[in-house]
Amino acid sequence: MIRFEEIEIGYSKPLLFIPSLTLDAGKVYALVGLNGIGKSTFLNSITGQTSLLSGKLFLNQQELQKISKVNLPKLIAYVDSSFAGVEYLTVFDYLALGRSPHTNNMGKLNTEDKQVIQEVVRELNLVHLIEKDTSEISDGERQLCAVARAIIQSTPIILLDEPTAFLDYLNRQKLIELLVLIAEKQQKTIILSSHDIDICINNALEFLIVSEKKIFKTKVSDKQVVIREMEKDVLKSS
Amino acid sequence: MSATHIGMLSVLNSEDAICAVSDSKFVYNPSVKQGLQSGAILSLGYSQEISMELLISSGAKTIVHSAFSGDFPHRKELNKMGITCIPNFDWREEDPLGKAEWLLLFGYLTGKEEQAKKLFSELVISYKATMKKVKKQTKDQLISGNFIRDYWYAPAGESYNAKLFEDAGMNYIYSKTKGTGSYTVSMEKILMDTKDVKIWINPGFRSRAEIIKSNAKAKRLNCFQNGKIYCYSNDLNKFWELSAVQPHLLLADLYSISSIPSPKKLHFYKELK
Amino acid sequence: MIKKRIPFILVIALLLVPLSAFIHLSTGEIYVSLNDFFSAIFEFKGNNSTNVLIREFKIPRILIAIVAGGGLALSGMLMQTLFNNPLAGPYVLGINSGASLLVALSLMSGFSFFGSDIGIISAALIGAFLAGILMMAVAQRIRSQISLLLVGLMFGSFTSALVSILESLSGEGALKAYTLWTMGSLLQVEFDQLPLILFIFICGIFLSFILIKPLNMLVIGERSAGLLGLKISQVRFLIMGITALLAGLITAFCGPIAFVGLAVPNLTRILLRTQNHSYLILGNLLFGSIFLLVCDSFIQLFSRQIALPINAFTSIIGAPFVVFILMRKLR
Repeated sequence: MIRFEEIEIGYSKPLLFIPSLTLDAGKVYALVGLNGIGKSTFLNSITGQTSLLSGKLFLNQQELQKISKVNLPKLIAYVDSSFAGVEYLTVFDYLALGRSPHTNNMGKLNTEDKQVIQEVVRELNLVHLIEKDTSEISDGERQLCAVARAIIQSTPIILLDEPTAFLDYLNRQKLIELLVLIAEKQQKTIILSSHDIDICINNALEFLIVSEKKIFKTKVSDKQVVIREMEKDVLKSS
Repeated sequence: MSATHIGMLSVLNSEDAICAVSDSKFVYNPSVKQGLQSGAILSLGYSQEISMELLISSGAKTIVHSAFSGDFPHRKELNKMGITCIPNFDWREEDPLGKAEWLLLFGYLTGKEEQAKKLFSELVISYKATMKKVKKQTKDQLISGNFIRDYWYAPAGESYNAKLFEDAGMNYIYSKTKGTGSYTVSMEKILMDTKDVKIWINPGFRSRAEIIKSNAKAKRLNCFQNGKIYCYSNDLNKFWELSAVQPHLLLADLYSISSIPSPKKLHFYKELK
Repeated sequence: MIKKRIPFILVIALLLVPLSAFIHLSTGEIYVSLNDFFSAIFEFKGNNSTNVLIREFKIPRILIAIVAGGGLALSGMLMQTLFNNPLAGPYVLGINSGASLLVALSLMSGFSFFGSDIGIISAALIGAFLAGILMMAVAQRIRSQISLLLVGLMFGSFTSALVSILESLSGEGALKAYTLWTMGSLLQVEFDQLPLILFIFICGIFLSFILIKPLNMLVIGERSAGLLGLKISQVRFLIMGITALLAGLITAFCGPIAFVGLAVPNLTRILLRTQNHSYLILGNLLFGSIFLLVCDSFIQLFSRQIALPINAFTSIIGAPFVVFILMRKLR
């Protein structure tokens, strides 16, 4: 669960204002808005990489500023829009990095760590990839691995920055379905930023619309409503 | 103008013919030094980077240069101005007497041909006299040269230095090697080759401490631990200027080193402590 | 299958180290038998030339080849992981240049302390570390891998220009000492200095093993590693410190030795096909040692014909290999 209280986000000037907002566990939220409107800044402020200008942010009842750098990765997992792969880095070694917030100083995996990895690998059908080189699998497979790594991190919150940007239609659909399933089953709070409004509506995600320097939560089933909200920015500036 | 050229002019008492020199830092000759101080002789800079403007303004009519890299720079232009460039190849000589013979060139240039001829024949006689004293080769083995980083560079068997060693009756361990330049030896080989060497000559340093500082491995050599080390370091600049024109004195030094246990009166050489 | 392949290669490499040391021993210009070798170790007599040859010439040369090869490869690997750039290395990124500059300064300063062993070593260490910090600051602002290398190259040219200015100001003796130092050498180490060198070397290895987890995390980039809880600035500082320790130590005793730190880590990755640093560290130590022992064996083999400096030889082998890596990457 994530709770926002009177938060201002931005760098020197405030970019976004979030009056009061609670994001629940077990749900997937779609963060939409025009380019450059502050979606990434919003996500970065939850991971603590961009500090808040004012207000308070709670992750599972704990205030963000009071959570240590070591404990934060136990609460939040983050997935980039694309993972290019690294030559000679095997899928297994890549997935195992997801356990690093939990392992000791030498990074050695214990039985529990191995079990978690195995379960996720089985659930996401990655068994055939496990020994492959991350630079030699397809974009879809790689993005799936990135999500798998985030799940393996075993955090109550997962943030994904445009995870479907480089995927084809089928892979997009599969990925969103998977996220909905995981959120429900493991009671996680998942936020993904996306430009793909159709798929978000099809999967009945709740929307976080960024518009007019504000973020508001809404449940819509009409694409036009979302677009109209987003267009307010364009109309205003013109 | 190289150091040997100053030496050759000085034995002819013709230092006053010099109007400019290069590498003035290395001048030994007292009257040339004085000339440099008073400004009567111009200092042209160092080796490859001499100042053409100063050279012309010195009013020199003749330039004697060691032709290490062919022609003197701007030779044609200088010729047009009435300045003659004479390349001097004394450094290529492999025979000590041959090197000294270049004295005749300076005799001709200064108009003291007869004096130069006389001096040269005298030094030949003196040189040959020392050679005659050598009855047979001494037993004590001799090594020359020093390390440069990982290798030992010794004068090759047909070089100027090797000829001097031979004429002085010294038992130079690389006297049989081919070539007129240097003979390169690996560290391992020099250690084993100098196992029984008693005399080490021309290490290129003024003291044992300097030798070790330059290459710590030198202290492992038997000739360093148990032998005697001599270098032409009595006065370095004097050596560079005069050794070419006084090979008889050089030979006398070497003969003393090889035949007398602790020679006292040496012209160029000095035992290193 | 894969899990057994890497240990198998590492065991073979481990066996190849004594083998190449033996080859090195037997390619020396003066032949010594194994008997001589052991008697020189166990019954050393200062007046026996063969004993002196083995103890003061052959053993330090073999050991320093192992230390320099393994140490340079390891520090190259550390930099490649830190900068996330397979073309990084102590030489290309100007770590050697930094060490060289300070060594030149201390040799030409005229103070006898700076000309002593300890003076030169500390100068090299400090120079290496400062250059590393500088390159790290630059890397923060430059995203492109190739641009960073260009900056490293510029830094190298800049320092060598400074060194030339120093050269023209300094006396002949100091100039000669510096010029000789730049040729690189595995023969300047004394038997008595070996304990100190081995101690620093082992410290460097030990510290690298402590950093296995951060190194493995850095493979996916600083940002992702940071989101997994890596304390980036602390780790950067530590890695740079170890690199400076190893590269500075070797540069101080052997002078610059090019391309080992660049070529061997890439070779190791290609052979082991892994990004797991517990294997990569071992692999780099072993392959680096073997590489330099073999290079130096060639130099010994041809010492009769040609007096080759080690720095020239490693460049002759290393430079084409780096071009090969570049072509492979840009394909």
